Amino acid sequence: MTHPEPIATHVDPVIYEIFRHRLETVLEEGRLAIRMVSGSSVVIEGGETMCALYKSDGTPLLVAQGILLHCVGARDFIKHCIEAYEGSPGINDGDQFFYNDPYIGGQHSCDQVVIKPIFYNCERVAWVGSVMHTVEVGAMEPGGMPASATEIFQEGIRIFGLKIVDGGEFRQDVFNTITMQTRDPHMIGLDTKGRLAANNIIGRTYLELIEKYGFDVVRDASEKIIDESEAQARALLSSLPDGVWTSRIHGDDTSGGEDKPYRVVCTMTKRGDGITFDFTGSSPQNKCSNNETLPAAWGSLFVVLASHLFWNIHWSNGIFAPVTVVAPEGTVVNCRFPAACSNGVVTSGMMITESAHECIARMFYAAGRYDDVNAGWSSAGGGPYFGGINRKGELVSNMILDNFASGLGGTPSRDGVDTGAQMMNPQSNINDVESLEFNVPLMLLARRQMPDSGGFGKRPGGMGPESAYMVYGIDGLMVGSIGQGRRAPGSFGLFGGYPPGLQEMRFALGSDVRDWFAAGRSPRSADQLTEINAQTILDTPRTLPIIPTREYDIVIYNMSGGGGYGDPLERDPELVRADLERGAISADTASLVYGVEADQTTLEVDVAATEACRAMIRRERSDQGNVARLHNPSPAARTRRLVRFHESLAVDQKADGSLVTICLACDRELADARGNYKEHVGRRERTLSEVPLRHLKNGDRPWVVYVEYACPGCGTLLEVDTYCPETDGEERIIWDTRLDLDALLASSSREGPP
Amino acid sequence: MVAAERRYIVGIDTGGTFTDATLIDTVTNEVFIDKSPTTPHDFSLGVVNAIGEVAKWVNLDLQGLLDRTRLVKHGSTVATNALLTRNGARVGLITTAGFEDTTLIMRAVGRVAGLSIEQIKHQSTATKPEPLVPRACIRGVTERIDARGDVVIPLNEHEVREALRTLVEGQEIQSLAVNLLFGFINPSHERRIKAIFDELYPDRTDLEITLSSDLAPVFREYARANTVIINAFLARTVNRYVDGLGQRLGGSDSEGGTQLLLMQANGGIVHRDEMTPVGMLQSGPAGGIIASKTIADLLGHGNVVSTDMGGTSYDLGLIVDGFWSYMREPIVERFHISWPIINIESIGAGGGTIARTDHVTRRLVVGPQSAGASPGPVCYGAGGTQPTVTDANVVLGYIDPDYFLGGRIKLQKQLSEEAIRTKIAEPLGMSVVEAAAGIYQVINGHMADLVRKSILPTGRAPSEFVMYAFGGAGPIHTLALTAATGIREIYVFPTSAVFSSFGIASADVIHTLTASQRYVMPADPDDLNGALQDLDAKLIDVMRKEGFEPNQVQLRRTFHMRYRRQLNELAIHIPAGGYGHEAEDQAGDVAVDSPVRSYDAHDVKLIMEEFERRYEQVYGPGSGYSRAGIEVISITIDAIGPAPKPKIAEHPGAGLDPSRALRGHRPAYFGGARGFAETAIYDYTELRPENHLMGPAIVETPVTTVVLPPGTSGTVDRYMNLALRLEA
Repeated sequence: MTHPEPIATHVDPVIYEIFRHRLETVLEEGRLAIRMVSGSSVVIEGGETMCALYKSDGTPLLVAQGILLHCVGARDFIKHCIEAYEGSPGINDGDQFFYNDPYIGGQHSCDQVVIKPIFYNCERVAWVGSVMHTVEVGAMEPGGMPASATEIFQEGIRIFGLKIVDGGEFRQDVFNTITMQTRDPHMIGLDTKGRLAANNIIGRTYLELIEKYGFDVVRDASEKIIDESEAQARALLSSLPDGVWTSRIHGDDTSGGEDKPYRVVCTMTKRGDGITFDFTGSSPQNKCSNNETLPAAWGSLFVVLASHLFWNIHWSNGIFAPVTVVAPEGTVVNCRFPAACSNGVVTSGMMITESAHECIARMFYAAGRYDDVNAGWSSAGGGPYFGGINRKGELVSNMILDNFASGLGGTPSRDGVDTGAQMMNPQSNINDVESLEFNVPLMLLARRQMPDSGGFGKRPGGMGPESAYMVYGIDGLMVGSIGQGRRAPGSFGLFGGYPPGLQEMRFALGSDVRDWFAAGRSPRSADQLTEINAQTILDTPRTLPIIPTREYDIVIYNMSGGGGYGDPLERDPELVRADLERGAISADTASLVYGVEADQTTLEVDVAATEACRAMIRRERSDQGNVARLHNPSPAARTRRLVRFHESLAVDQKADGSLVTICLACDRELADARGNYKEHVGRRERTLSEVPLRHLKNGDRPWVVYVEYACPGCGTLLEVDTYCPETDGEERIIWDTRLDLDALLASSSREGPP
Repeated sequence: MVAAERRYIVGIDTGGTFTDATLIDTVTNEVFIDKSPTTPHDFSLGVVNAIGEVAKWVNLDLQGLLDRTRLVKHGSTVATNALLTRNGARVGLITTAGFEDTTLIMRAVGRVAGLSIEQIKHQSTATKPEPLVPRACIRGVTERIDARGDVVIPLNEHEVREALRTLVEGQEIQSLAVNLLFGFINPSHERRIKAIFDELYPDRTDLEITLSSDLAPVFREYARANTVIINAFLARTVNRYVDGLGQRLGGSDSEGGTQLLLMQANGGIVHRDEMTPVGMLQSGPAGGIIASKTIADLLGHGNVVSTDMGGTSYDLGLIVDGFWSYMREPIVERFHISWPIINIESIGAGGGTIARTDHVTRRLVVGPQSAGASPGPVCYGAGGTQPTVTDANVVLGYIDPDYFLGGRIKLQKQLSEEAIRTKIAEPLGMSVVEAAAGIYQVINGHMADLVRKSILPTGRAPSEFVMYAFGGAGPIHTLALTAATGIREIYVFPTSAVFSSFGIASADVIHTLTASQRYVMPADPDDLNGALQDLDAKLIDVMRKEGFEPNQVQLRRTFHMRYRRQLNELAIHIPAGGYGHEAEDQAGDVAVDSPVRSYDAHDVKLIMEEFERRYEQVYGPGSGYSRAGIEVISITIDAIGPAPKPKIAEHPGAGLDPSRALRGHRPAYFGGARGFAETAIYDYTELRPENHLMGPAIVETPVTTVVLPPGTSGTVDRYMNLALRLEA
């Protein structure tokens, strides 16, 4: 167990507190300035921007609240700048450097960064950096995240550090050279100016603080900020149980001429005050751009660290100190140059986030911190993007970001939030339809919450959105899509809850939809698209290179919901009825998954029939014939509960000192607690083909099946894992929780009997 | 009763605990204040009681006062309360088919809207509020209007009838809200829905129907839907209250009678017939800014930072160029709305704010939690154990334990010392006094940061502002925190209760209208003038109902402008008389005798230049980007009907020397080598205009304490306010 350096105590605590608050305020001011100036809906509506201060060597000092992906972003650019340009052309007072190469830092070439050194008495004392996602980079396809790219050279401009401000002088030549390589120089120009303004605001205040308190005080207070975060992070980790947790999340990759599943595997080891995330076992890198560079993988992991594990600790370099990452090169979590990588952030990156999220949620549950436990959040990143020339002859290019209204996971105490957020952005926000239609050549025919999109469970995952976009006010538009999740859910259910539904995208090209309009009708769902007499109906993958569309062509697109929590049969039948009433689930789901028999018109629950139906489902689950049954002595032989690590499972100690995993629903002993209980309970593999959104409209096979584990005694559903034969081979069973039981025994005996 | 005898104006402000009444005698310019407990079961009772109390000051009973009162101006919490407790009508919503879930999706941001930063950061726990209209009471009807206002899908009237029938008869709704996409540009479909309703249910006059195109014809459908829904939800409760109060105040408010005017969140006071229920939300905090504006007009201050530090929070609002600004995306409770609400920011910093030491980092953390009124600060001796800002102020000698609130509460200094010793000083290895001074400085730092952050987006230098410090705790801190902000001049109002009430009682009638219509600049002046004339005409019409002739109404125009491709706008104040023409009013408002003039092409050019000038002022030189093009996205007009402003009493000067007010000396802590210094204590009630005070000094009043640290000075002005300065 490592110990942090003692916190610098020689900084006056009062000055420190004032200094720290001032810095936080000014970073927020900088971020707001960017948002006010920017033209990117990603920035304004999605909040995709971040300002941070760094030490003179690039170590992050303090990061403003904003998009979590970018917390580490500028660090790597600053380190590169110092290494590469200290000598020539030199780093001088008043300079600002523009960067966007994703093999240096950031998530992808869309993440454009301007860094500025801060000088005091001719000495470089700090850096400030502003990172912002920009929706055009002059790549092979519009929108900045080209689905067709198979190498980085097709993904637009790569800037390795250009002085856009040189000794305080704005370089119009550099500015023009960057912006004019893109399809939308005006927007890129606005965004770049926003970053310059934010850096100026922050840099100025930092110097004011130095002038007020003196350089030594500011330097020491800055160190203390980092030390403090580390101390808090380590204290938190020390308070959590030791152990090893494993998660496996599946994605589908369909570009670059491939159509295949892939996976991210995360093994999290928590020992003492340190934590390791090991992604060994993740799939080899994709041919297309659904890959993360190593800096990007750090950013994606940071999303869940900042929002779940370390949410109440200041974001500085200190919270990285206890964290180790293992990411084998040549995989989807650390691709090898010159692999394309622009879409990693919405594909393999989100799987990094969710796989680590699953491990952390299970660890929090074992620690009894139930408020912090959520089942999986939707990993429906990305969305449709488009470009074209409008009737005034202007280039238009943009992206739809309804993914920021994805569903969230169920929790021990409440249902998941419908159309809630994406974890990378704590203040997720989507456009008003009117705001969107003022700016882009589209008309929305629907935007609604998608029934059955959330994972089923005692506490279901929240619904995701479904939208219908019609090309409008423009003769033709190239439309593509990025993301994944059509043939694999991309996230997880917890403790018997199901993973979220699948995501589909359907085009109707060349239809008679205008006749519908004249008759006072409009198509609002994917099924209705088959009724409008279209020349072509296309069911496409999520990663889709652009295809040409004409005015009045329609595309319907849904984003997945959150993961379910707990056995669906434990959901109160009256809540299931309410779910039916508000359209959260279909009638099939109510009866097949929740075992609730309700009247088709009044929706009144038939209590007796529901009881019978649920009993039947439980019997089916418990009677799988694959269980090597443990002898089951009387409960009295158990002397104490060591830990409850699962909604329905706990580890008890027996009189002979041995440890057993027991089912809390029926008090049955399931297995030796030092092994994986899943080897000893009912297991079946199945698809839920009866339920909408668990099968695909055109009949394609989902890449994964559900592996359901149930208590052989009472039939309580304990876990629903996903298994993909193509990626997992013989690894059918995941050992998701391996608590360090000896450490628990030692600490609980120290504390005396419970 | 003849009108000439209606010499009084009554201001009534319903607060959480007390209902305050202010009485202005417009003949003698005397002001009287009194209060009565707030009566939550029926707020109007407390209102009437408070009027009865203040009537005694002029030797009248309630009826006697009402018979002689021209205006009753009332700030009420009835709407805020109804929304908080969800005590409103069962509302049905009709919207464009396909978008039935818009108010449930809440633009996703509804999950965090109205939450604190701490709550937002705790992502695993943030959830959406229960929607005001459940899904079962929402109906979509097929229709579509595009962004230019053209009908793409005609209204499906069959669906409208079906929707109305299931809502009115099936769901038994009490109020109906209608919000269609782009209805604000082309209201024909919304109006047709109302016509069908009238045709189907001619007898259901009890069922209110609110159209978005009538109430809030502005773009962005989610906040607009909330506005319409909340208005429909509140209408019954609010109307019943206002009618009931009207009855209690004497029924008739016809020509010559007592008129009931209600305070709205836009800072205006409006006649009850012109009142909008949703506009009453958050009108309480607006009262403070109205008061500041009244005072600013009186003292001739154009740019003011108005602050109020009470027991739990520090509230800040700005007046820039003589007027307040509205919130960009106002949130009431947890819902975004499209309605003008005065922009007020708040942080957890007050007398009751708790200081603690973090056990891991050993940081001195002050706030945002508060000990509230109960148990309150440790020195109250009411069971509080966590040291607060007030405890620090007692230890530092700023507050006299025997003269807190004029001696009404005796404070126990040794309890403060003990709490600060064990909770702060010992863990941090400091002395008790150092720890107390630390608490004082840290909370000042938090407030100073809010001041700086609020001024930044105005693009003006802090030195262009004066600060007003209201609230019981404010004057103890204001001079110390102002030093870090760059503001040099501070006003405290030892009679602030009088000033606040006076401000509300003399508030103007204001109606605000916003119209969303995009103009790519340079716009055709005829288009612009046409739209402006429409808005002006609507406002003039309302103001006529309020009793103002068109030539008495001031129109204040704000253009919301941006570079093309931007998604956020900058609010630019544009003189109604245009630029570059002589005889314009300095502040830009149209003076009573200066008619509104049509803009010509030259004006349009000047409007663009003004936008670019302001843009660079806010975002810095070189930030402008005219190549992207400029557009106007919407226009807001405030129509202002000036209320009579009775003169506030002035007092004759009595020379520089304040010594007659000197009550004695006590040690107070001002840090550095000085440590505790013997500090002159003045009795505010004995100070006179022109008296000059040099820090260190402390001025005590029955309601607050003013601390002048070394290096500051103060002068009593002719209204008995303290004008304080930082010595250069």
